[in-house]
Amino acid sequence: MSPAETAPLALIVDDELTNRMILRSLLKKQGYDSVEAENGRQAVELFRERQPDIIFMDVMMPEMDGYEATRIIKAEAGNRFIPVIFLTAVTDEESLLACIDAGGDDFLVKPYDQFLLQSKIRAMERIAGLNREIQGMYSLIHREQEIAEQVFNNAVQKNNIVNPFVRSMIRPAGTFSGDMILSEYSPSRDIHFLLGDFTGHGLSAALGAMPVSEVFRAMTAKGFTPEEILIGINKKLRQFLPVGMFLGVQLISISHDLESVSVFNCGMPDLLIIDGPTRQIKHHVRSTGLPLGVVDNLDARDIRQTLPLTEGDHILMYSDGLTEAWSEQDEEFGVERLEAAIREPGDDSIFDSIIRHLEAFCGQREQADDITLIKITCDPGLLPAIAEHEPVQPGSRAQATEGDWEYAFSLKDQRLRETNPVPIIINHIMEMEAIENERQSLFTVLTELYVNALDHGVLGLDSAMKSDPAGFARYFQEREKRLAELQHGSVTFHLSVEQEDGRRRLLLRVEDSGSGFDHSARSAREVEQTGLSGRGILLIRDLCDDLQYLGKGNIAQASYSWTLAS
Amino acid sequence: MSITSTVSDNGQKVTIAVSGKFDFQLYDDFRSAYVDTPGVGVEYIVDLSGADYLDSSALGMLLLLREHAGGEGARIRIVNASPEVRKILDVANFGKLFDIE
Repeated sequence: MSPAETAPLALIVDDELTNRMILRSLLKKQGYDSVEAENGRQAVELFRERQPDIIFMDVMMPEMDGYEATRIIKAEAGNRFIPVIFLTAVTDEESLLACIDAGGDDFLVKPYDQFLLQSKIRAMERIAGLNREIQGMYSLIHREQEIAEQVFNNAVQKNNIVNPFVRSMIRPAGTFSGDMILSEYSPSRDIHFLLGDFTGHGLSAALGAMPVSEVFRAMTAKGFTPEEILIGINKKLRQFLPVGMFLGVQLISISHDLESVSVFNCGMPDLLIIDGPTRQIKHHVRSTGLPLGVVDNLDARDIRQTLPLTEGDHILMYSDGLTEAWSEQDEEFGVERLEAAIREPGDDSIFDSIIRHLEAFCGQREQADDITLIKITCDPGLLPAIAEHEPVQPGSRAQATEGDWEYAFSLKDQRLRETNPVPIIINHIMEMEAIENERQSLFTVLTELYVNALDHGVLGLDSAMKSDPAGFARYFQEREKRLAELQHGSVTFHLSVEQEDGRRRLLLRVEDSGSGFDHSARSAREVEQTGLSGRGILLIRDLCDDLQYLGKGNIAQASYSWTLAS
Repeated sequence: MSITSTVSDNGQKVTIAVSGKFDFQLYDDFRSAYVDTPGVGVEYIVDLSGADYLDSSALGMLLLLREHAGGEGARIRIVNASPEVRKILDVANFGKLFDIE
C-alpha cells in the first residue's frame, strides 16, 4: 500500500475485549486500521459514522445480536458492497447458514488463524473490487441510456401531432422501446400515422427508429404518397439493418375530408375501425404486406386497403405487445379480451377502458415486450388549420419572384401508376416563386385536379359509385384494378404565372386523355351540384379565383393568385 | 435439444426440426443447424410440427436462413406449422418469401 492512500478500515464487533485485541493485531499485519464496537447497536452507529471497508461480526452479544445488526447494515449499504464476516465459535451447519441468511458474506471460526484471515480478506477485497467495477459500469450505462433516450425522444417523438383527438401510449419493456409512433400532416392536409415495431426491443431496436422517422417526416411533408414513403423507409432500412432484423409497420393516411382512410399493414396485428356511438368494431384491417427491411424491392402497390370513415369513428392501432401481454397466471391478454374491453359500455373512453382491463389483467407480472396503442378519433378537430392566404413578409426571398414563366409536365402510360407528379410540380413552383405560405393550398388544388383527371378522366371511374360504403370499397378496388391494367393514357399539366396589379396569378391547366363530359350543357357549378364531382372540386373552388372546364370536358383550368409582398 | 437437423445422403436436402418455443434462445442452435451446409442449391425444410410458439426473432432467424440459402433464389419449405404458428407467419406475410405448407 502506498503511503499516500489511507489504510482500509475494519469494524470489529465483539463483546469480549480479548477477542477484539487479537483480531485488531492480526488485521494490522494485513494493513487495516480498526474501529471497535461491543454490541450490534454500537456497530450500526459506527458503520454510519466511519463507513468501514469490511466488518467482522460476532453473533451473540448484548443489546443487539450480530444477525440483527447485519440486516440493518446491509439494508443501509444498498448497492455498495460492504463485506460482513461472521465470527463464530460454533461450526454446526445451521448456525453457519443463519449467518449467510442474515446477509453475512463469510464466516471465520474462532480461534483465528492468521493464514485463514488473510485469505478471506483477499477474497472479499476481490469481490468488493468487482462490485465497484459493476456499479461504475452500471451508472455509466444508465447515464448514457438517459442521454440516448433524450436524443431519441427529440429526434423521433417530439414532432408528432398533438391533438385532443389522438391518444397514444408507448410502454417500453426496457429503457428503450422498439416500438415507435410517428405522425405528420401532408401538404394536402391528409394525416399520416405510422406505428412501427422493430424485431426485439431496447437500444438496438430503438436505433433504427431515427432514420425511419426522418424518412417518414421528410417524405410526408413533401407530399409523397404512403406507397412512396413505405418504399423510401424500406430502402433506408435495407441499407443499414442486419439481415434478420426488420420493422413491422402500420401506416395510415386519413383523407383531409375525413371520408376515408388508407391502411398499409405490413406484418402487424389487425388495425381496427370502431363505430363511435355503439363501440362495435366495423372493420378488421389485416396485414397484407411484408415487414419493412426484408426484401430489396418492396412492391407497395398491393398493400393499400381503403375504407370509408364517418365522423366519430375511432381508428385503433396497436403492437402485438398488447395482446401478448402476460398475466401472473401465464395467460395472454389476447384479442378477445381486447375486443371485449373496446365494446364494454361505460363512461370511460375506449382507450381508458383498454388500459384499465390490461392493467387489471397483468397485475404485477413483468412486461416482456413493448406495448403500444394509438386511438385516433375521426373529427374535424383532427385537421390542421388551413394556412392564411396572405402575402409573405417583406424582406424574404419573395422579392425575387417578379417576371413571368411557363411550365409543362406530362405523365404518360405506365408512368401514371408509378409517379406522383404533385410534389414535383409543387417543388418547381416553390423554386420559382418562394411562396411557402401558399404551399399547402396549392398542394390541395393540384392534388384534387390530378386525382380528378386520373380517376374520372384516364380511368373513367364514376364518382357516384362512392355514395354508399359498399360502393366506396368497390370504387377503390376498381381504381386499383384499372390502374394496374392501364396501358395508354396521359395527364398533362400546364402552368403559367403572370403579374397583374401587384398580384401574382397562376393559371393551372390539367388535361387528361379521357373522353371528358358535356360541360357546355351545364355550368361547372351545376356539375358539382349534381354530386357527380366530390368535395374536392368544392375545395378547389374555395381556394381558387376561378375554375372552368374546357374542350370536351377533359381540361380543367383553375386560376390561383396571391399578393406580391411589397 | 429443441433443434435437430438431418442432412440427406446426397447432401442436397437439409431438414431442421424445431420443437417447443421457437424464440431468441434458439438463435445459436438454429444457426448451427445450417451454417455448415452449402446454402445455395440445397433444399431446406423447416419442420415446425413440434413448435408451439414463434416470435419475431424466430422470423428473423428464418430470414437469416433464407440469406444463407441464396436470398431470392433460396429453396426453403416451412412445413407442419400449427394454426397458431401459421397465423404468425401469415401476419408477417412470409408466404411471399417461403414455401409454407
